[in-house]
Amino acid sequence: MRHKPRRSKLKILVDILKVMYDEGETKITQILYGANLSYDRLVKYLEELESLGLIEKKNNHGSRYYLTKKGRDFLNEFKKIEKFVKAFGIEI
Amino acid sequence: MYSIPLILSYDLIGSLIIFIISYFSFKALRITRLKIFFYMFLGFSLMATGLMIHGIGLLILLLSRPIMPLIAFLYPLLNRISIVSEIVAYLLIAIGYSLQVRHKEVMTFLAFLYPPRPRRLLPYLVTEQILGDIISMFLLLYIVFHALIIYRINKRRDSFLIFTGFLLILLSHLISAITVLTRLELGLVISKTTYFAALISFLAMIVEVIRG
Repeated sequence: MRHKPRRSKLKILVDILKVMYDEGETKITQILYGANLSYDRLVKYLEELESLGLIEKKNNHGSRYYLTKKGRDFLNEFKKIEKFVKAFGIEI
Repeated sequence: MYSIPLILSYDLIGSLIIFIISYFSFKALRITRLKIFFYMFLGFSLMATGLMIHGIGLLILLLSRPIMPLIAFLYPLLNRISIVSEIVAYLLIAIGYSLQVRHKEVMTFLAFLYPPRPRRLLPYLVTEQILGDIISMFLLLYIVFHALIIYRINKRRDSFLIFTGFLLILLSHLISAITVLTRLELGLVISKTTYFAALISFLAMIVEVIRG
């Protein structure tokens, strides 16, 4: 039986950013399902992304997260680099 | 000597193309922190620098109408820089590829790749150019095989372009070695054109990456 390879931390962070990119302002539950993570792990990653300035939290009508310009730029950059990296046979 | 302007333009344009690949390798290293891209970045940067030094040197020779002793000193020196930088660059790229060896097929193939007995090659090692070409060819065989395995696994167009690029560089060194033995100037032009075609293949890969 073949196991699905574990996602790297970078890939998890990018998956979180992708959910926000697709959804706009995003509730934590949407990110949970979209990025397929447990609540505790997600909170930890969200804090990390916030400290890096890639996302911001809005507190009106419950907590919602959205991508900052830095986060959007990072995601666009990542998509290009991901393709370059895959060309060398590497999965991030 | 009619080929010098052509080689010069190949060198200068080619070094710019390789600098772009080196820039992407650097960005990949910054984002992924994978060692392979550290070696790729160093390898491609060195390759580009060697090519640029060779090109600028040729440009100086072409524009300054130098006296014969200067040509006799500068031309072999430029070639030496080019050969050494290429060999070290291929070595670094090969190390980069070897860091991601996961396939048994690669190791099996390497057993066949073991260099032939040196005694057989010795009569042909008449110049450092041929020696450089032979070392480069062995390193490139290793790189080409890795690139082929990767393409066979993922069937991606960009991986095919990388494989084609390295294969053409290997071919250009083979033609270069034959040229030194036969002393045909046309061979040098064909070798340099093949090398340039390899860089175009790399450029096409980069364009694919940028287009997304």
